[in-house]
Amino acid sequence: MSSLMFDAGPIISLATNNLLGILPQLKKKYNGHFYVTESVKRELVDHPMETRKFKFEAIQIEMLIENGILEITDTDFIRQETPKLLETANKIFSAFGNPMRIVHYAEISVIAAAIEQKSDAIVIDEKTTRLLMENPKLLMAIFRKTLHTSISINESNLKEFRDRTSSVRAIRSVELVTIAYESGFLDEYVTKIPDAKKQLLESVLWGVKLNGCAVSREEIEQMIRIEACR
Amino acid sequence: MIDQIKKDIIDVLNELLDILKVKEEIDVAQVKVLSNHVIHNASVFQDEDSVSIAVFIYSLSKMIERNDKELNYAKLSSMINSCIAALKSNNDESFRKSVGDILNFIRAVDRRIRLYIHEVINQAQVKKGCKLCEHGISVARASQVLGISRWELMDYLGKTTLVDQFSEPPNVSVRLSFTRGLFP
Repeated sequence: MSSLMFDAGPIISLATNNLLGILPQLKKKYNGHFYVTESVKRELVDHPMETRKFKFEAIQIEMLIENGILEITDTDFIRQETPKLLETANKIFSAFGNPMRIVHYAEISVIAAAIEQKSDAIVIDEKTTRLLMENPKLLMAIFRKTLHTSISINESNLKEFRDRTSSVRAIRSVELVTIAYESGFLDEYVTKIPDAKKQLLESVLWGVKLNGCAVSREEIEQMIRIEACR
Repeated sequence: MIDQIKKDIIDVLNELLDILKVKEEIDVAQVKVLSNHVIHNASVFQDEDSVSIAVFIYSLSKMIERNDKELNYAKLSSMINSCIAALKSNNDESFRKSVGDILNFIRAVDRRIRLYIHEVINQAQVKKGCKLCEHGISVARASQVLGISRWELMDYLGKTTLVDQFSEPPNVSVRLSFTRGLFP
């Protein structure tokens, strides 16, 4: 059965925008599994449950897990593959002869799980991990520009990482929110103000951006234009 | 500790001492720049020493900004000198103890001026985490290095212009079409 593998970021973006309610409807429309890995679940629920600031959001996510909207995947493959993939990823770029550990176990566990499940896509708002798969040259340019030092690249590790992840596609919370909008899952928020639907789309897209989804202003403007023409 | 990190921390602490010498004219912005300098190393090496020095210097800048009259600059400078001496004698343990002493000193001052230093330190951690992300480190990894939650960092990051600074060539219609295909 088809599946989407969620990183913590998109669920955090939805939770902090009071948009978790679109997930059950999206899942029904998708007709497949929405998975999170055990380490992503720890970031989403276990850690914030120990704090005060995001505890209520964590409870709402726990509810989605208990109701089976989000399923947890935890397999031997994920446990074995994640450290290998992480080791490869974190030795692609070096500065001062020192490998830069740029990604975290949880993010890579999402990719490992997606490889195992042959998921349709991973849902990830995080830019670094996505760029590592899609556009490592841009990542290299960011390092060079911001660290003001020469960065060397281990081509063999990069090739290995890209080969291992070549089947993995990535989408973000902004795309999910746009699909929810197109599907009418946000219609309860259509008001009587002028351009109500456009305003609604703009509000939710900016909402997820302002809560951490890596989407540029230009991309949001394009999305709004595309939806206006539909 | 790696030599490069050691050298950079010594340089930064010496610069900090120079700034603190003229306490009437302390430029808070300069102190913050020093903190950002150390975080460059934290991006590359992700060592706890660079991170703790960056967080300490940023917290100090906030204290100076809000109420510098309560700070005993002579004592603070002496403690910074202890850090430098420990580094120069390659005594990493003693260096870390000295950094801990400085943070305790700041906490003690806070009990008097009620800046809620845990908030200041937390703010410093989030700010420095944001810097790591600016340098291309992932949000989850930056959270791990700074010891803060991803929720806190995302909450802050979203309000910055970070994503727009290094935006990718937009391929909105391609990604959207692909996503639509998943939800027929």
